[in-house]
Amino acid sequence: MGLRSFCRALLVLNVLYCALAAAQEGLPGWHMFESAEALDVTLADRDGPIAIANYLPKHAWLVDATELPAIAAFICRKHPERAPYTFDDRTVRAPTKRRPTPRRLVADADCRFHAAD
Amino acid sequence: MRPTRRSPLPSGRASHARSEGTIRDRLDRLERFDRASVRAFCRLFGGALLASVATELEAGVHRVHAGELYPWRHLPLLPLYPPWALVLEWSVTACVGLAFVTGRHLRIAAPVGALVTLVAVLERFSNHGALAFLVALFVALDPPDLSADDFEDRPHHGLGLVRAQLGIVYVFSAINKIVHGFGTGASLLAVARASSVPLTPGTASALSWAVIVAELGLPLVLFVRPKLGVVLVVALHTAFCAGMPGLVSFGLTMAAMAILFVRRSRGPAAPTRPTTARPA
Repeated sequence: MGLRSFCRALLVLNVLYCALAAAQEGLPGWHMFESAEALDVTLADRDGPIAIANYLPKHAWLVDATELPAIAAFICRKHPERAPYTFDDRTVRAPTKRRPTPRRLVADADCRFHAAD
Repeated sequence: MRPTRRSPLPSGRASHARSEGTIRDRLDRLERFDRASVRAFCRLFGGALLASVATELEAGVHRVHAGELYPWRHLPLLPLYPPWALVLEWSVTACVGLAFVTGRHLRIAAPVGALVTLVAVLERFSNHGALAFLVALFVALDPPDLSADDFEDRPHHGLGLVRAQLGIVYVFSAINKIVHGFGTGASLLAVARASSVPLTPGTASALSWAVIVAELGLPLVLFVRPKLGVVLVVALHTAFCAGMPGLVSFGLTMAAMAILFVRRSRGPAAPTRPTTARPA
């Protein structure tokens, strides 16, 4: 296969993948803030609310809740002396969104967050 | 006895071969580029790579690799490497960026750039990182030799992929926005709130639709009126960067790709006219 044919095949594959990523949730594609959420979340330790942004690199746009549980677990593991940790998610979401709200989570000794009783 | 008349219509096979040749010729013509445009592309893309390193340094990404900050967007395919490896990655990326800016050693810089940007994307996924990888990869497939005498006369398939990639990014970004109801303005309001930019719901919805229309229209404008298209691409991404300063690298890469549409006398849409010798 010559370079010309290879490049044209690559172009077709590229377009087909992008179409698949547009149709299938979770696949990396050209998703640019199209479903950003106005998050209303609070992570708190024994002393009160924690500024989550202080544990993220600058320009990290926290506009959806995908990585929030992992971020909360990271902070909990980093500072276990500040337990107990609670995570409140009061974000209002459209009914089509998978994650139900509101919800309150509590971290256990291994920094795994579970639904509060 | 009458001489047999030959049918004026060409045979099916000859017609098919001629039309295939014509389509291939047209596609090949789409893959011809001005030397000046490609030089500008190299400089802008090199600038984008340098800007990416500077932005990550300023954002404190090294603190992520030191374990102080959360590994934002880290894909679990490679382990998060230590800060010294990040410094090595940044150094290589900066060298590749400089090579593109100066237009030298592209045959080495492009594949090295593709490799280092791929590793970077696996360490911390981002749209600008993925785009940088794709552009470097396409250039690496067919590195342009700007000193070649016949540079403007032969097709450059790698650069053709780069130029097509701009259309792919804009069109699929717009499609994803339409599918997710971006036009309601809710997403833009959320982003504005995160950026501390005041925005009303009505303005957010109007701006959201403006972005969608721009993303769908820009590839067409670039094809038909390339210089105007470049100006609009720069304006669009300048507006994005004003609200979200971390997007400088992405904007520079898109501007670099847009400039490939510019040809001295005409854009890629204009047909080339065959020269015909006039009878004496």
